[in-house]
Amino acid sequence: MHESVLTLNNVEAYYDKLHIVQGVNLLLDSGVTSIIGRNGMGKSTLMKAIMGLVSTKGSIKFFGQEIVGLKPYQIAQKGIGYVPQGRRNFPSLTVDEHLTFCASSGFSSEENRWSSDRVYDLFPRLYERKDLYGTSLSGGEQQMLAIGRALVLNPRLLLLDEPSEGLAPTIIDQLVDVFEKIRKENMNILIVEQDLNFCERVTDSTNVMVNGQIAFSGSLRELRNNAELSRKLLGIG
Amino acid sequence: MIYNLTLLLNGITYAGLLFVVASGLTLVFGLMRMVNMAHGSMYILGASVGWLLYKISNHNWVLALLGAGVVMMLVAFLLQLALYNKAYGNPILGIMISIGVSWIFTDLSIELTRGEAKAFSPEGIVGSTFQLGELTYPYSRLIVLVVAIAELILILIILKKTKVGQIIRAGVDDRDMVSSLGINIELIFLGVFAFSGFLVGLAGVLGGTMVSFSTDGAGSMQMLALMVIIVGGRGSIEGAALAALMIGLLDSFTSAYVPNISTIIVFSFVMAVLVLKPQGLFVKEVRKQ
Amino acid sequence: MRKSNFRFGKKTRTMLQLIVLILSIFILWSLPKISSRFTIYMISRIMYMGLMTMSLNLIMGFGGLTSLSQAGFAGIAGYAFAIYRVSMKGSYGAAVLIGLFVVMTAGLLFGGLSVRTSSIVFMMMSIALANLVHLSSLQLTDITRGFNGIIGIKGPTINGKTYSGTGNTFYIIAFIVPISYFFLKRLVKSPFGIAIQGMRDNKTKMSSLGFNVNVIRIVLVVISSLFAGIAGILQANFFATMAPDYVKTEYSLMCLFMCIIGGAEYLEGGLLGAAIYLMLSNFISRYTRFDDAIIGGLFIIAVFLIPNGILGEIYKLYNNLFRKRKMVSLESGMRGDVHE
Repeated sequence: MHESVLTLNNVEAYYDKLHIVQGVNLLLDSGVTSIIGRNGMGKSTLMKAIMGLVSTKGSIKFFGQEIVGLKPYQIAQKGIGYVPQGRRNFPSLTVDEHLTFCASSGFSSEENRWSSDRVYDLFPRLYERKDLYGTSLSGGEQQMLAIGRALVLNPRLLLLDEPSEGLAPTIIDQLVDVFEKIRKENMNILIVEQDLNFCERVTDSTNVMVNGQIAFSGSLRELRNNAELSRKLLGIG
Repeated sequence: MIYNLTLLLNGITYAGLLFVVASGLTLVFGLMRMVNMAHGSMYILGASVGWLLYKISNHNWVLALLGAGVVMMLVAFLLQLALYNKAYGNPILGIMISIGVSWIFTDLSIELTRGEAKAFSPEGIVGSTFQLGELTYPYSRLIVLVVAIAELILILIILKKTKVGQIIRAGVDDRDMVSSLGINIELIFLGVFAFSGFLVGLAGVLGGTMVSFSTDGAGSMQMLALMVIIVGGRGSIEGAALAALMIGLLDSFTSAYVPNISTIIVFSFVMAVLVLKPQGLFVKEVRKQ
Repeated sequence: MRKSNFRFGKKTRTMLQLIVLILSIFILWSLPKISSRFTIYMISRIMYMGLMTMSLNLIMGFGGLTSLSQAGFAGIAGYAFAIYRVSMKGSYGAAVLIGLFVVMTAGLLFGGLSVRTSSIVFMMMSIALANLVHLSSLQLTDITRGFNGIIGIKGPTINGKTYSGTGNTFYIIAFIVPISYFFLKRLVKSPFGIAIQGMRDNKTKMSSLGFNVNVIRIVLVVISSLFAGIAGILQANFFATMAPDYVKTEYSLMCLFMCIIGGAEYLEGGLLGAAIYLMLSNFISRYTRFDDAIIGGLFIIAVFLIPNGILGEIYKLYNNLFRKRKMVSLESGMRGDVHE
């Protein structure tokens, strides 16, 4: 039987004692999928729940393995590369150190392995700045660094929380290209986004989160064409 | 002139001792967000254990020094494994646990020293003096300075050039993120805390040789260590070195010239830093967590 | 038949509280006739250390600020009082007022300096303050008489009789502490008390509701320092001495222990914690010299097992039982049952 990448069953998560995620059921297949929704609906907390960073109840299975209750480093070692909201690069490490200190052979075969060299190929601008400290970069470069840092773990799933946030349109274009390149290497990607235009360019498969629960799963294009549904779930249209 | 030179050297060597004590504390505070209120009592316990070894080995100073370091390293290792790790993410809990630990360690130290002040006065180089022009100065203080400088260089090399050092630097910035990248941060905590135990044990014997030690001194050493990390900045080794130097020199000169208010001056300085620059004088960037 | 909530009116409650207060003072004052000297000695110490701890309950349990400087404030008041009383040969009343004035000024200064700091930085500043007080008492020998301290502190002279020393000071302590407790109790139930609890739980919410969190915080520090100061003056009276050993930083840490053991969020926890600590250390030290170590071990266990303190755990138990009953009533009420 073909395993889904992520299966979430009745997942509840708490952030600072507040009950944010209130019963999420979700099945994510391979390829590129997204979770969208307005601000404050619990998308980021759901990501943190998957990564084991917040108090979580319920069941989250990653390629069939239960990960609720594991520590973040154990979950990462199972093959999840986390690119958090706000990037969270390290001011005390250089760009190059970001790409080497946590590098792992992970789950990629030798030909497909992501090394710092391959990341520099993907993001030439990072190579030019490899000795700069992690937070001395522009917004777009920091996003590239955060993605590169997750890639060198050679994960089976990339988790990105609002990757397009605060980025200029030209950078966003580059980001779309990058996702295309990574996707072609059979990397599974889960994006959490508020920017629907960006999301559309990357994937059509979406799940809408409303008030801590999943309210819709399906095609993003169809959702956007349905004015009434768009307005109800996303507040636009 | 000689008087001021002596004061200068006293300040610098005292700073050396403060650095050895506080360097472990600042790494622990930076990485684990834990203020180890038992650090001062660990210093005295290290000195007391060293004293025991010194007596047993018939005044073998080097054995006492290294033995104290190793014993305190093991103590710290067990402490982190059994107790302190439960305070992850809860600084107040950590403080309270460490306060309880400090009382236990102080009683142990009293037991080992029978509550009397002790000093290591070994024969040989360590106990003798050398000439610097017209000035006669004790070797013991010079040794403390040498150890401090060696330690500073060693830690800086580890931090800048090794993978563990990179992990520690990243962990001081954002330890949850380091964990999210697949690195077992708790193992690193264990290692760093054990290392801080080694340093504080060493410092106990060094301080007990340079001056003396008594179980009453746990509280003041704790305060001094806290002052160094407050002024130097959380998690900053360079900051700790510079802060130790500032405090060491300040203490040395004010004790000599204005003894009645020397403490007030030093404390006012630290208070000022806390109020005006709570992240420390020597920290380049404040990362909001 | 309706279950009526038997509630007193506000005025009636205050009258009752005052009656209880006066009664307890009279009961305490009659104790020396029936109890041993040692019992009176212990009760005195429990009371003034309980008061010092209650000042910590106020600022930490209710206000959310961990302070390790209560003994420091107690020392400031105690020394100011002692210096005026002995060195300047002032009257008792004036000495008390000066002591309280000085400590409240110190509290104001400290509160002002620390007003915008985080809780960890506040705690560090309080440690620094406690150490500063201790070391100053040793170094400023001209005014504090250094290590030996100020001795021969006389109590108040009422009707020709001077009440000094451990035996007589009991009456003063047994008068002041219940009154202080009365005030503190009313304070935490007042709008100010609600405000500091709000500040403890959610500072940003309080700000957005229009409360000036900075002012509240400073006032909290001043009030806390005041009651710690009262305790310090009482202690100076009790031992007729004020010395650096009385303001060791260890005492501020003991205060923390007493506060946590009793229950930080309950005023009575301070008194309970003081009683437990004093009786425990007295008991333990008869059998072993490792009394500090054992108390340290108990502290660690307490922090894990009963983080809310003894009173906290009792209240939790009570709530669990009480709430269950209440829910059952609700359900049966909905079914239309008659319930008494």
